[in-house]
Amino acid sequence: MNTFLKFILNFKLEKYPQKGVVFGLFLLVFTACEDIVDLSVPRGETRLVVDGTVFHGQPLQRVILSTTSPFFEDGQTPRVTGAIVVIENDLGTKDTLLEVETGLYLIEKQGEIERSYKLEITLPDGKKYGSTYQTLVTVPSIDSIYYEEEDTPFASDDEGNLSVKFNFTDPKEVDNYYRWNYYINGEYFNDELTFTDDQFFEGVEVPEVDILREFVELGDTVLIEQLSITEEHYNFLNKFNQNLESGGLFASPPIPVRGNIVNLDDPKEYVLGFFGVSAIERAEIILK
Amino acid sequence: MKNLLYFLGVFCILYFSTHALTHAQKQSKFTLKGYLKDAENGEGLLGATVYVKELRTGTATNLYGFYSLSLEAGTYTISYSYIGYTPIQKTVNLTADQTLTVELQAEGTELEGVEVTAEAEDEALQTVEMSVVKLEMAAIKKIPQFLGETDIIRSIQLLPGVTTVGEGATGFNVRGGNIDQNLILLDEAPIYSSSHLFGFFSVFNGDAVKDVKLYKGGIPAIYGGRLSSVLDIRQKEGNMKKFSGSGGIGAVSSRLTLEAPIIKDKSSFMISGRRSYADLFLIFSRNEAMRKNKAYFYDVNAKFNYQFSDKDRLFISGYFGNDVFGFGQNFAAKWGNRSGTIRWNHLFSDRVFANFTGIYSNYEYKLGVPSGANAFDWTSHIYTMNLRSDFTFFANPKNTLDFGLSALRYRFEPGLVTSDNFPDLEIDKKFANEFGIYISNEQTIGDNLTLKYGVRYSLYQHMGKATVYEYTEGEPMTTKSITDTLFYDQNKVIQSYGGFEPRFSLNWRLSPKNSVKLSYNRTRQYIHLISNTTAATPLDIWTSSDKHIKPAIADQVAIGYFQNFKNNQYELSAEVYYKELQDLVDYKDGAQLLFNETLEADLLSGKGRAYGLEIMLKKQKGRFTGWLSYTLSRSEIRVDSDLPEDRINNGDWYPSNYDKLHDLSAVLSYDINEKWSISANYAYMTGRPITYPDAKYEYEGITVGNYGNRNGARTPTYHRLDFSANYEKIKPNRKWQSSWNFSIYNVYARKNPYSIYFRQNEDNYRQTEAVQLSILGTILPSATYNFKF
Repeated sequence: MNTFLKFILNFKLEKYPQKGVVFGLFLLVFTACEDIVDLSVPRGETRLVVDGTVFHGQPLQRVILSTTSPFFEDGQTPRVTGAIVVIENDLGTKDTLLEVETGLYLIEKQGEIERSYKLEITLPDGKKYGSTYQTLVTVPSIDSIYYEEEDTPFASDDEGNLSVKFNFTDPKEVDNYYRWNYYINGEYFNDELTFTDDQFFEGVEVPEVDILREFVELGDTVLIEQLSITEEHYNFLNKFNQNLESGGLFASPPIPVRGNIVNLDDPKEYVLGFFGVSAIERAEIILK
Repeated sequence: MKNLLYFLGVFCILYFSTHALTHAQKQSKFTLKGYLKDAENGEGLLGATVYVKELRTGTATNLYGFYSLSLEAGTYTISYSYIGYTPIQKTVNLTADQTLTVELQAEGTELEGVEVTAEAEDEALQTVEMSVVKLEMAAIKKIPQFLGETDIIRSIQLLPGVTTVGEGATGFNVRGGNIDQNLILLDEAPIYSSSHLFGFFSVFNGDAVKDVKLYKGGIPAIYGGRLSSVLDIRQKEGNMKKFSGSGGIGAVSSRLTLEAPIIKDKSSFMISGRRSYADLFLIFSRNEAMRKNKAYFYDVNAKFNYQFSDKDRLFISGYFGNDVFGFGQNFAAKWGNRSGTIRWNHLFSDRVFANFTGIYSNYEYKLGVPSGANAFDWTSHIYTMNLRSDFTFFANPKNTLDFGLSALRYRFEPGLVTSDNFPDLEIDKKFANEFGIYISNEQTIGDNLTLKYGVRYSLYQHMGKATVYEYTEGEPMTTKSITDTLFYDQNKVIQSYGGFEPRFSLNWRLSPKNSVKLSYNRTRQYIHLISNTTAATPLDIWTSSDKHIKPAIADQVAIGYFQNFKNNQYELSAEVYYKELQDLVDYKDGAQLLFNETLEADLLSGKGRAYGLEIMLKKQKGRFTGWLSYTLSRSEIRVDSDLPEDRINNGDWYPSNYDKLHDLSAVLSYDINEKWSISANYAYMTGRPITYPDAKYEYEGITVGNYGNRNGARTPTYHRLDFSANYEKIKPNRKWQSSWNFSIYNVYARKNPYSIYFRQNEDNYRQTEAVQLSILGTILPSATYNFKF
């Protein structure tokens, strides 16, 4: 994600200023280097991790339960099997999800706009966990999607100079929180999380969101999902994202990130992950 | 307002009582007064020693090179001396008040042995000041410099007790204090961002600077407003004798300074400019987009002075500097300090020296997208206006009084975004006043004891217009716990804070060769840098205290032992200090600091403590000069609260970002012959605290670490060696003199870690890895051509 959102919305000081230092200093040689190093890290206790969302605009709802594992251990983190996973709405309707593979719990039932949902989990050892209520709100549709060729200040020959752009209109007089997912040729693009509040465009048309620069080329099909998220979810993503970007010169240090899941008998237990709700609007373009 | 009147009242009493004292004493005593100047260019010499041999006592010149001694009638031998200058002795027959302005000749490079001179070389033993370092520009220029740029901030980081979080990080940390706890003054104007290019170069152009003084402790009562240190930088006044200039062409920038008398010995000016030029080579780029890029910094320093009479002198000085970045149509940014100072020195009587100053400072940054659908402009400012008057009363050779008052007005404009496509957005401006009044006396008791004691009273007011939120008590502050919103009108006092700041130091001279010093100071700070990144950026905002953000307070005690060896060729000092800090600003996890109307809800308040031992061995004279410094220290923070949400690390003490247990540096320079001199410096320090993960987990297909214990680990040790060689062939009878400087930074190409971070492997997202980032991980040679005429 570039310029506008990069700077104004998330204040990422990463990209330009760092390249600017490079280039303001030497132009020819920059000496910053990154090396993979071996070191030992502490080993914390094993914690429950919850990854679940109720969507409006997607038939299948999914919750993944897993645990943490030692930081440098190879492979997938352990999944939690045999749990009872229930989604309850503010009318008291409870739906139990089905474990279709180890740790993956599914249900085919759409979320409804203006309904609130919470998650309840009972682990095989009897420990009970619950989330806070999350209210699903509507999301505006994407008005248009297009792409453009742009000058990229530091483009080298192997970097593309296409960028995909779209626009939408923020509803008036409501605090909206957005998130976007991108799929390039059907593959989920997870290089960075993009999300924002509407502080800078409250109630107006956002003329141009500029995305995926240097990541797409002619012939690609790009699908954008525009999601509504709750304020609590937005705050969670902010913290989560800080840990993904804790490397550079001006990065904020990594922090503990707690979501909205608690152990109902022991509120001090530290549970990771988040249970969220989102409405989805989609737009697709083939770059040709 | 009441407070202000009280203030003025006290001030008037002080002023008139000293006046009365002056006249009362006049009958039996006479005054010897004057200025000490550099014979070459007429610059005033600050802190030079004036010593009366017969009485074994003396005084020092003030910040403008003025001294005054009141003595019984008689004949005296007065010795005038200053480091780096040949001392002069004068016999004075004092039968009436007398003015004696003395010009000292700078010492040439004395290669043949060392001429051991007068008393002044034991300045470190004589002065009551401790925890103070005075750096001569000549000494700074000898230190191997990063890419050949003479850099004051990098140079002071080689002193004991001064550190940085990493190479290329802006600012410096003094005795376990954050970078915003340093009062950085350029001709008395506060400088908010001391770096160019995010921290690689300092904003102070070495050619325009005359004198640099860093107070790490025992901060005199004249200074207020920051907790940990004062870096007082004075610009050159301008050559009073003849037209002269200096400059250089370096790898990074070129610079030129011109000085000249306007009226000889009466009025002169200095103007100095510097610009980096790496971007000028962009025109050779084949990439069109590349040619549109901009990246440079520049500074302009200027000063003018006019001596109306022996009693009145006017100074006008200014600084203007910017960093400019532009990346085609995509992004542009610009930031810089600008400041102006007008000063009027006036002698009310032979013994009362007064200085009236008006100061204006504006720190500004702008960034934006120049054109296109997303075009916008974002600007932020900090305006500071300061009026102050400072008096020195040379009561008698045993007592020198300083007193004065200061009124400061702040206007913070944290952010205004304008755009053709979006509604404008502005964060409320913030207004504040800060008043200070102080008095202190430096008193000599007997032959061996000198005391300096004083007190400063500071008063702070957060002023309207403002919107203030009230929050539910006993709950963490969040936007949801707001109970009330209060609107205050222009010029209404919303919240006041204030208090006394006692300052004390003592020098007990055990023998002519050694002394013991002791100091205590309390300092209060009302403005705070809001930054939760490891290294501060030029785009961080500052805010001032208000109903929710309390002023920070620091108390520091220090004890030191000072010893000179071998006829004052070597100076050894050892100091221990302990500092306690209250109400430091800290940040909630995930805090949003920019464009936040309810900033206080993302802040926490913490305590700090710092303690350490600093040892320094210094050799100032001879072919071989330099210093060796070692610091053993700790700096810790604790953020505790009744509310678990408002704690960091469960309310336990944890190391601050700039905690460094060991810090060693050596700066050595050797004059080989008349043409060549070489120097080297070596720095070694403990790695800085960082946070390591204690586990990994997967969320939405991303593998990420779980971070618990803040600053629980450290980066590997930092060490580095630099070399430089200076070639200068003095051409007699020629006005134009030139020299070459060759330097090698990071001689053995150590990849010093700036940070270590953790990420998922690019090819296998389930694999996590630790990455070490080194900013300057290679050897960096450079050459600079310097000239003067």
